[in-house]
Order: sequence, then structure tokens, then C-alpha cells
Amino acid sequence: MVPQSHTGSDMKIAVCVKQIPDPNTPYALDPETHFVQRPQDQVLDDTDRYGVEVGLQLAEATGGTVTLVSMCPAGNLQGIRQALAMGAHKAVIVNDPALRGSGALVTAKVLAAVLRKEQPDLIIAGTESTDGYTGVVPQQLAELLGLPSLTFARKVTQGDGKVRIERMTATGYEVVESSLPALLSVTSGVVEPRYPTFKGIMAAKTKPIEQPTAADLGLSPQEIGSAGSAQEIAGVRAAPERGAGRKVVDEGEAYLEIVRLLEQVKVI
Amino acid sequence: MQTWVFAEEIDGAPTSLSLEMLSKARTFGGDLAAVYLGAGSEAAFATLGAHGATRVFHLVPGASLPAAAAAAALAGLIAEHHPDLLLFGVAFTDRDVAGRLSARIDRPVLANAVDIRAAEGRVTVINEILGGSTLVETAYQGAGPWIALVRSKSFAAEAGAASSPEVVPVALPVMTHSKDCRAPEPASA
Repeated sequence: MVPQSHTGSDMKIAVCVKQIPDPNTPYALDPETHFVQRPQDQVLDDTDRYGVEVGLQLAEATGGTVTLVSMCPAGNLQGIRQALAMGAHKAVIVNDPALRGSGALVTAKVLAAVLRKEQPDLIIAGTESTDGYTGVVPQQLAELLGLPSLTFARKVTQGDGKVRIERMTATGYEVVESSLPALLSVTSGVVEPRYPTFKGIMAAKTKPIEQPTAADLGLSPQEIGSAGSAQEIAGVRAAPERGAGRKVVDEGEAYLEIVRLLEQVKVI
Repeated sequence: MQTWVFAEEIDGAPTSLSLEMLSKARTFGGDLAAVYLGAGSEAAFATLGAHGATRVFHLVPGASLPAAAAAAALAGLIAEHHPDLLLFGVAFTDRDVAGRLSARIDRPVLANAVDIRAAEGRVTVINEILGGSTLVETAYQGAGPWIALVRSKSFAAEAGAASSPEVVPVALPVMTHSKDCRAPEPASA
């Protein structure tokens, strides 16, 4: 991506989103590959609703546009249409069976290939997906595109061609700003996502959805999927069952038992 | 086996998570170093030494957000010293640096580790999925260095004998794309 300064008007925004199996239904793993089985009906990852909302608010404030960018099995595109119904203008979904088994870095490379073509002023992503939750794709994306990254935003504002955030830290937050182009990762709760209107739901049915393959983006089979991810699942097993709870009757010194237990699990 | 552990300074000391990772990495044998991001002090370096680090690469952050520069500096150190495994915590700055480093050196990150096994040149990472009901063991393939993100409280932080690690100052490069990515206000609790 060629960094160019931006005045803050007509902001071209890309929001990275993901469709996931409905979290209200039990996830199942493919017994052979150990990958999560993905049904045709998938929903927009709840963490991405916040990124879409931030993108829409910034686009509305600047007269800009929002493009959804995703790498996922398309299914019936239910999750993507949820985001389009919120108000996003179009979507680019990299939908390719050859991408199955891709790790976080391959995912970032695929998204970067789309974003190099889209040339947005601002890229927005959630901090991590609900099903994969590696939590490093936004940072990998920023590095691949040569962009500054404003991460873990709990509040976002813009003005004078800059984006300013409150970035969560281990001890509270810090205010950080950057000129554009830039990448922003937002935490859940950064804004209140809007519910799609009936008009929005109807409009989403006809909004453009491009579905390039990895090859269309110039990525070879060796660079993607399990082959390109430099990792292999060596085994899957049930986690040890947790023991039953223990009742402690407070006769005035139960706090000592609490301290002992906290020390035992290395919390203090 | 050469293992490096990323240690961010919080309130003048290495994070407890970094000490947990050092304690675990000590069990792998071989060389163990810390990559310390912060102002640094004799006490902080001594703490890292007591937890097993024989060498500390000391990165001092400047006015800009440090992740991009720290990743670039680490990539240079990796090219010079060839570590096998780098451990970061599941924490804000750790994730920023690990993600950028991964893309910069084109090596994968395995995240949310609750255990790590290293034996006979093979490293595997164990993480929990499906609400903690299932454990997945994943092995790195191909050449290192390998990068892992470790969850807090996966290992106990246990100090060993006191020792003074060699401290190697490392200058952070100026990243053109991030030079105006900075904090105009002091941090708040």
C-alpha cells in the first residue's frame, strides 16, 4: 500500500469481517482434519459488528464508503449480508476451498492482497475472531501493508485527517493518534452496533459481493491453506474434567483459605 | 535450543506473565534470553536473571508507539542470533509485536498456548478450544524461529538463583509509516 495523506473527507474504509458458525449451536470438528465444520448458514462474528459500526459512523461523518473484506467459506452469505444490511456498501469475500487450513498469517496475506487492490484510507478489524481467536491478524495485516496500527481501541474519533483512539493497556488506557492511511483494531463495546432496518435488509440483497479466489489475487497453492501455514495439528483430545467444587464454611477465618487457594493457583 | 521471551515493563518491572514464560522456558534447556521493552533498571534485569535469562536485549521505547519498531529491531536480532523459539504473552503490546514480527519474518504464530512442549528439535503448542472442553496440540513445520503467544497463569513464575544477565542495548529504528503514530496525552488508569 502506498501511504498517502488524507484530509478526512470521503474516507474510504475497509472493515475486515468473518462469518462463523452460530455460537448458539454446538461446534463440531471434522474427525479427519480437526477443522471446525462450517454449515451453509453462518452468522456475522459478533465482534465484527463493532468494527462495522465504527466504519459506518466514520463514513457517515466524512461522506465516505465502507467495504467489507473477508476470507471465509461463503455458504449462503448470511453473515456478510447482516453487515451489508447494517449499511456497508459492498463486500469482497475470498471464497476458495484451497484456503482451508490457513493459519493467521496466511489469512493476513490473503486480506492484504484484497486491500492492496481496494486502497482504503482506513482499515478496521476486530481484535480477534470468536472461533479462531489468534488475535494477531490485524497486526500482521498492518505490517504486510506497511501501515501504522492503532490497536485495542475502546473509543475512536477522527478529525483533520487523523484517527485518534483510546487504546486499552494493562493498567488502563492511553490516547494514541495517527494520520491516514492506518489500521485500527477495535474492542467489543467500542460503540453500540446498530440493528439493520427492514430497508437495510432489503437493500443488502442487491449490494455487490465480489468473490475472488486465491489465484485471482496472485497467491499460489504453496502459499495458502495448510501447506502455506507451517503448522500441523498433532492431536486433539478432551480437556481433563474439572474437579467438583469444595464448600468452605466461614467461621471467621475463611479469608485465610481464600488467600491460600489464590497462592496455590499463582494468582497472588 | 535457544529461546527468547518478550518482557514488557509495567510499573518499572517485567510483567508477571513474562516471568511465567521465562520459568517455563528454563525447562527447555539451552540458551534463554529476555527481550525487554521499557526504561529498564538493575532491579528489573536482576529479576529477569533470577527467572533464567542469561542475556537481556534491552529495547527502550521512544515517543511513537513501539510495536512496529520493536518488531523491526527483533527481526534484526533474529537474523544475527538465530533463536529457535520466541514466547510472547496474550497481552496488548505482546500481541502487537508478535503479530508484526510474524509478518516481517514470514513465520507463523501459534496463539493462546496453555502448554508448550519442546523435545528433539520439535516444538508443539497446546491450546484450548470449544470453551475449554477440548485441547489441540499443534506442531510447527519448517524452519524456525517459531512464535507462540502464551496465556497468563499457564505456568508458575518461579525464581531460581540470583544472577546478573548480560544486558545488550538495542536501538529501535524509526519507522517511517508509524513516526506520527504517538500518544499526545499521558496514559490514564
